[in-house]
Amino acid sequence: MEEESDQALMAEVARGDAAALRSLYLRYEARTFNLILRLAGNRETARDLVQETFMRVWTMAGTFRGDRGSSFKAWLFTIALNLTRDERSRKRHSARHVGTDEAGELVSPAEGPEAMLARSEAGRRVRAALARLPPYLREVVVLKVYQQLKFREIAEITGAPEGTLKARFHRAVGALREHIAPSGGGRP
Amino acid sequence: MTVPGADADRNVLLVLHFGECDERAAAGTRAHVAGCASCREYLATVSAIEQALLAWPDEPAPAGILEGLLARVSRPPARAPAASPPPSALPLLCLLPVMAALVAGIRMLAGRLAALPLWPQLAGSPAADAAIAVGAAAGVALGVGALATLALAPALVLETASLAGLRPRPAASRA
Repeated sequence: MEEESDQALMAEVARGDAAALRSLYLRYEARTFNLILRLAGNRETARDLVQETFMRVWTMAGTFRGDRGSSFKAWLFTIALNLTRDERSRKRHSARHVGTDEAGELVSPAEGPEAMLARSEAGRRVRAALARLPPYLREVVVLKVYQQLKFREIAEITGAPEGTLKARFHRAVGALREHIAPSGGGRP
Repeated sequence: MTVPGADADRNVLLVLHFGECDERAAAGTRAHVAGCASCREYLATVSAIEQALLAWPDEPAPAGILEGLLARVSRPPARAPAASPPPSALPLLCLLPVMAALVAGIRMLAGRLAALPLWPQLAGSPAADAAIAVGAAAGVALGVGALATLALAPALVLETASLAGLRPRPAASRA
């Protein structure tokens, strides 16, 4: 059976079909969770924000304009990114730094083998390096490298011009080079 | 393109690296990179950082998110507050005896004032004429204003109560 498109599912969600929301969730669960996890640096926060992201999809489905060429993925990631920014702002107000989450708890006690693997030394170094990046640089790195989006798509999600995003990516490369210290890297 | 120091040059290298330029532009940039050690170095750095970042693999999402989401979605929306009955206009009727007492008092005061012996002495005085004219005008204006306020009072009370009944309730707390 042919898989329903995101747009078709969103039309059903807008009519109040919870089964369509479930389908969309299952389709984007991993990508959304890992996007938020790498931006926020904390699994518990990511868990809450993923649920809140899809709750927004449910309540705001009527505002999605798939018929005008909008991509559901970009729309979804925009919601996730905005919620992550809000959460970061809220935490900053309560004097908690996102880096402290990353340095301490990273994987829940009920972690599986993949999560155990993520605890490897290299993985930990990467998480620490990403946490040190300013949020606006971390966003472009996560969306580009892990989500493999085009700069045009990232521009749509973040609202920043493509040229700005490329400049940010370049700056992030410079900052990450110092913290990750890849073996084969040259001087940017 | 000389060295990847300028933004424009770096941007060209980035779109080449990520395969976001058309084939013709890519061929031109590749030809340049082949003869430019600096650009090759930059691209090697980008590749190395990208590979290093992938040492943090995707992690599985914790269980229970979907169940929580569907539970929230299936929760019935908060019920609209029941329409409050229109407020009674009975308290306004209590003002009628007060108004009647005021009118009677004013009539009695006017009668007493008219009986005072000083009026013949003041008759013909320009100052007294002016004061009487101003006083009469002020009295008429105050009387009209008071009557208008009393006439509008029921409508204002009803409107205020109606708006208070429509005010949204605080949102229900989230799960």
